[in-house]
Amino acid sequence: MRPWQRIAATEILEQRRQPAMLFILAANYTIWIVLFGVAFWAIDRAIADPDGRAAIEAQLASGGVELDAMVRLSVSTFASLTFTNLPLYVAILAGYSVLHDRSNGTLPFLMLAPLTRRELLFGKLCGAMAIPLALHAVFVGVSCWLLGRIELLAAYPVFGGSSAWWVAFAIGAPASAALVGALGTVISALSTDVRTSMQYTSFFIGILSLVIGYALVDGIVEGTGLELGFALACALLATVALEVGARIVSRDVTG
Amino acid sequence: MVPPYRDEDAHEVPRLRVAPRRRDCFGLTAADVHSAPSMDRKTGKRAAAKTSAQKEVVARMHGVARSFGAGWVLRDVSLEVRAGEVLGIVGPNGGGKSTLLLLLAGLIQPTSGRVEGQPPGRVGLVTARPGLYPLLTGRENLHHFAGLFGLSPQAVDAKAEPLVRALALSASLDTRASTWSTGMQQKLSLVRALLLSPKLLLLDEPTANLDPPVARTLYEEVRKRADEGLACVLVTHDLLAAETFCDRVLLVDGEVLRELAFDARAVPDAGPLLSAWRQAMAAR
Repeated sequence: MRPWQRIAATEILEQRRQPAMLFILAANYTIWIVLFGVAFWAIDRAIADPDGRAAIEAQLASGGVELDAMVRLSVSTFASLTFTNLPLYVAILAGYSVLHDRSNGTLPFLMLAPLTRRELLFGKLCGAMAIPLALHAVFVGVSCWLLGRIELLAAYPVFGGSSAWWVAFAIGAPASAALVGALGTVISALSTDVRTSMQYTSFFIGILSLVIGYALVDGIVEGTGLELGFALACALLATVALEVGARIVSRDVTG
Repeated sequence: MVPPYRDEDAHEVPRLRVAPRRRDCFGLTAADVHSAPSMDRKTGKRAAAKTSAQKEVVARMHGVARSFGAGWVLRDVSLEVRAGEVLGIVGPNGGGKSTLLLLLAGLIQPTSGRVEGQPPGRVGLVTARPGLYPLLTGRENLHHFAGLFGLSPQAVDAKAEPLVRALALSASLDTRASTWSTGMQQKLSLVRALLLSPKLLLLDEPTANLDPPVARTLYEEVRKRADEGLACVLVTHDLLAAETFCDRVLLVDGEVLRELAFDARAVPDAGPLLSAWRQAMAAR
């Protein structure tokens, strides 16, 4: 096992030993899926009946909203949220990765090993990405497949089926998560206390994750080419962030 | 690798730089303190004549200075650490002792001067904080850190077994480190440091927060390794431990580094309170 693989493996092992954290991550996915899933299913059932559809349209029209616009906005919001979760979780885990070693007193012992800063950051990033990626594969994949069965949503490509969706799901989301995670890892390596790290991570990267979620959904709507371009740009920026981070992170471990 | 020792290097051992009557942080004057050669702990005889030219220099500092921001922590420090000796470093808080150790470990670079240490894998480190992953078991911690040097889990287990047994950690090795006492964690930290058969062992206040018997066990293990040829540098505020287990003791207070002379024969093997403690624990 190479040193960065060892770093990543230990990072994953530590996360696995914290079932409460894993439960919270999984619960967050589940809550969104249940809330939106039940709402979409209920609307679908209601508008299947012409009288029901007319009643809903009349109610929405009184507020100046069309049924199609409302469904389109809800679908877009849900799809964006599901794609936001992956970079957000990776950011949270990465934002504490190196800092965890600093506060734990293990950082000097890592720096004694034949391990470059690049390897350290890369290993931490991989460790931070593994479990959120697994959750992403299970929850986003399954929920989008299930919601895609609802007749109401069949007209929207963001719930799987299109090649752009597959690019967003399998490449775009991991690549953008790698970008956000690389920034989080560098922030955690530069931080000397948890508060600073979490402030930067949650404020700066939280907003970035939200933007990424919407960008991925927009990419699905626009087509495979744009989605692929977005994914490649994210992967490239992640590499640059990691490389720049490895250069500016000091080897000094006196803090 | 450190180049072979040359006799002409001997003049680089630091000299007194304070006025003879000025008292330092320990209330010592220059009359009490002088540059002294190595001492044989058992006989109390100066051992420099028989060892200094023969024993390999494992680490060396030449006119090293280190600053953090605008403040200088160390200035013009020169020293050598030889195989088979325990070099004690004592001094006031903020005097640069830990910085000196980090420089020897290669974890920080000097602002000026030169440090010749050992390559990765040849330096063992024990700090005041054990530095273990609390959610991992003791064995997993060893696997992780030794694994970074390319050791397989099987090789780690085989190498750690006698050390773990000697330090009475066998029964707890597969439980999480978070459930261990500080003393047990610190013993595991020593096992980790010795696992790769280092040539240089650096100990930064390793017995802080440890009860005296555990501290004694740890020091005895270090002394045993030093007698087998390991070079050790011990930073400590425990002057009795320094007197008991160190061959040479250097006083570091930032700019001044000098050797403290003491008579090893006058140092009791163990204080009466420690003996009483051990007897009481044994009788339980």
